[in-house]
Amino acid sequence: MKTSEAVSATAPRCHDPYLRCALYGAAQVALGVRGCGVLAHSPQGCYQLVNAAFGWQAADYTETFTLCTKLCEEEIVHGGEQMLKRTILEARELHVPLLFVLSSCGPEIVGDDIEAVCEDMQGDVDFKLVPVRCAGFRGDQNDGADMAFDAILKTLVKEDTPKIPGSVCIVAPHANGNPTWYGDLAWVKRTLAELGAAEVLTLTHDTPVADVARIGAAEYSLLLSHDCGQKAVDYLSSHFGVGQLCRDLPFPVGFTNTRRWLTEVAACFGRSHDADRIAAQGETQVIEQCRRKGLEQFFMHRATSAIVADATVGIPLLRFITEDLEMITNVVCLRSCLPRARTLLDAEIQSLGLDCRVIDHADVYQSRQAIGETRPQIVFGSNIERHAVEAFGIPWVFRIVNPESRFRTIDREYFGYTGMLNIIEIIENDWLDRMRSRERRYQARW
Amino acid sequence: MEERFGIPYARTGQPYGVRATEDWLLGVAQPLGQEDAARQWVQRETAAAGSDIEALRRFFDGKTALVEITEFPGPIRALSLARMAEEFGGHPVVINLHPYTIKERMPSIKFLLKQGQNPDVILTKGLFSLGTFRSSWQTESELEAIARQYDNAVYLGSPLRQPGVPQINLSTQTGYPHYGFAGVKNLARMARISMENAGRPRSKLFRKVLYGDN
Repeated sequence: MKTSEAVSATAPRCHDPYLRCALYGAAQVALGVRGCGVLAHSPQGCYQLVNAAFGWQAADYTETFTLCTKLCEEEIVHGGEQMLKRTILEARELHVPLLFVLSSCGPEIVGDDIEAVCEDMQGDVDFKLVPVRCAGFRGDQNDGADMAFDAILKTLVKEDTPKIPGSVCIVAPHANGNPTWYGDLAWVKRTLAELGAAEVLTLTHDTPVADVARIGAAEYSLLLSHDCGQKAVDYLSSHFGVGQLCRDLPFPVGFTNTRRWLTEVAACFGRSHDADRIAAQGETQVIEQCRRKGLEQFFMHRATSAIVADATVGIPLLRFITEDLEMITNVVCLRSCLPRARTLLDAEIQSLGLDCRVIDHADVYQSRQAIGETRPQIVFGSNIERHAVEAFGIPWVFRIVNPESRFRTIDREYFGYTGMLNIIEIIENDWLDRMRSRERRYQARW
Repeated sequence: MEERFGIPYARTGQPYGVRATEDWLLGVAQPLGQEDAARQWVQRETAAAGSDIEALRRFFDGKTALVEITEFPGPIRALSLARMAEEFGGHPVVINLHPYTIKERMPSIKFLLKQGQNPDVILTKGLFSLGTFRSSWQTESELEAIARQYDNAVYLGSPLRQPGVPQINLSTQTGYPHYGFAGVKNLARMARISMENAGRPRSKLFRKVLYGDN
């Protein structure tokens, strides 16, 4: 059998995922609680996921700690509960208020009961133990985030806290393909304050334990991901009576999405006039900036494009590049796809009058195949697509989602008006980058 | 070089479309003694491009093709595109050849006219107004008015304009060739997209960046 035949024959049974496993997603959420400890009950290989999650939450290693039971063959065969107990006791020297205990595949397969261990050990330590069963086989990183949210809401959030009028709880800001999603979170917080929100709590990013406890007191919730967190928002609604804002709206990327989002949020605070003002000022800012700095429209107009991204970036991006940048998208590959996100995407495609092939829960192989078959001129994706589509002669791959293979110290939002400019800047830079000769650069090094 | 060193000079237009591509190839092949090979190659490529040629015919046939080159408003590209429009059954109307460039390119223009090309040319006031030509709202509005006068116009030119009819982006700053058979394929793809999306509105961002509040 030829290699190409072998690849085609096995493709339906293989998986080349964009998403990491549930342990990673749970660690991302847990590490958003400032000053906590996160203990991975896992082999040290899986612990690398916790390290990666630490980086994704931009946690500070002088105040937030990660630990691992570093299970080896013996514990994987005979169980590692003793190792877990010992590590929990050792964690006392860290003086953390809270220790999340996350389980990986190995210990869950052999039957380690982290909940029972935490219950047994709770009396021996002066910090709160929060077990999260999040073995990789339980789902992908978005499922893992939902598992951690569930644990947090059910064990750390206080009941019967008095409501804080005009307060908002932001949920799942981290589940966003923007490599510097902290910029999006900061924009949302600034905008909520400008529109009259009394207080903003975050579930989770750099969130003090005391704030986590008060989350049930929020008047509104605002989910910042189309990829996970809806279960947490629904729980907040049913258990604490927290109403969800912008439930069926794409995120504020591009003129129309941003105006709609601002209008809906402002209406809750009785500040519609402020939404109009922010939108008018923002649109003027984008237009004037593009005029002064230059906007290369030539390659955009009616250029066929593919979007390969998470739902959080991919869905709002569709309207932005269609309406504002005049592109014609004919492929959308979403790395995840919750039913609500798919409904939203379908509504957007219909409203924009596009004839789009959609692949949800796409893996790398499926995205590459879809792009190879449709041959768009432009691909919005990540560094993965930059290499994956190399053979197809597609002129441009714009790297807007993680991983992008760029070092960033400054957080750049995609939401709102500066966010539009940030996306345009990435497009223009990647457009220019294509004009550089790879061959000459390679030779120049040697 | 021809006069002094005897280096053959292929006098052809730009290879937009099938006929101009054939002329261009033969112009190179004849002095090299490769005429037969070139003809066979053209025959093969023309047969392979059947569906793309058909798409271009659907786009142009019976239509008025408004040709405007705004980036570098030179007459040669405009005349070459006009020839392609005619090849596929369109009636070309060239909008705004700049007088300066006409003067510069006079020998080439005379050559093309000798080949039998004689498209209608419309010069608008916007061409002569002060300011940046490509961002001239006056020219945009004149072009929109001209397009409205025809009930079957198509537009070949820059995406900086959007006169509200099917249009092909003939900017040189795209990632694919327009010349030769590869160009036929790319132009056909753009023609299909153009016909399917002719009704899409101009982006507010693009319009305001280009033309301000006009």
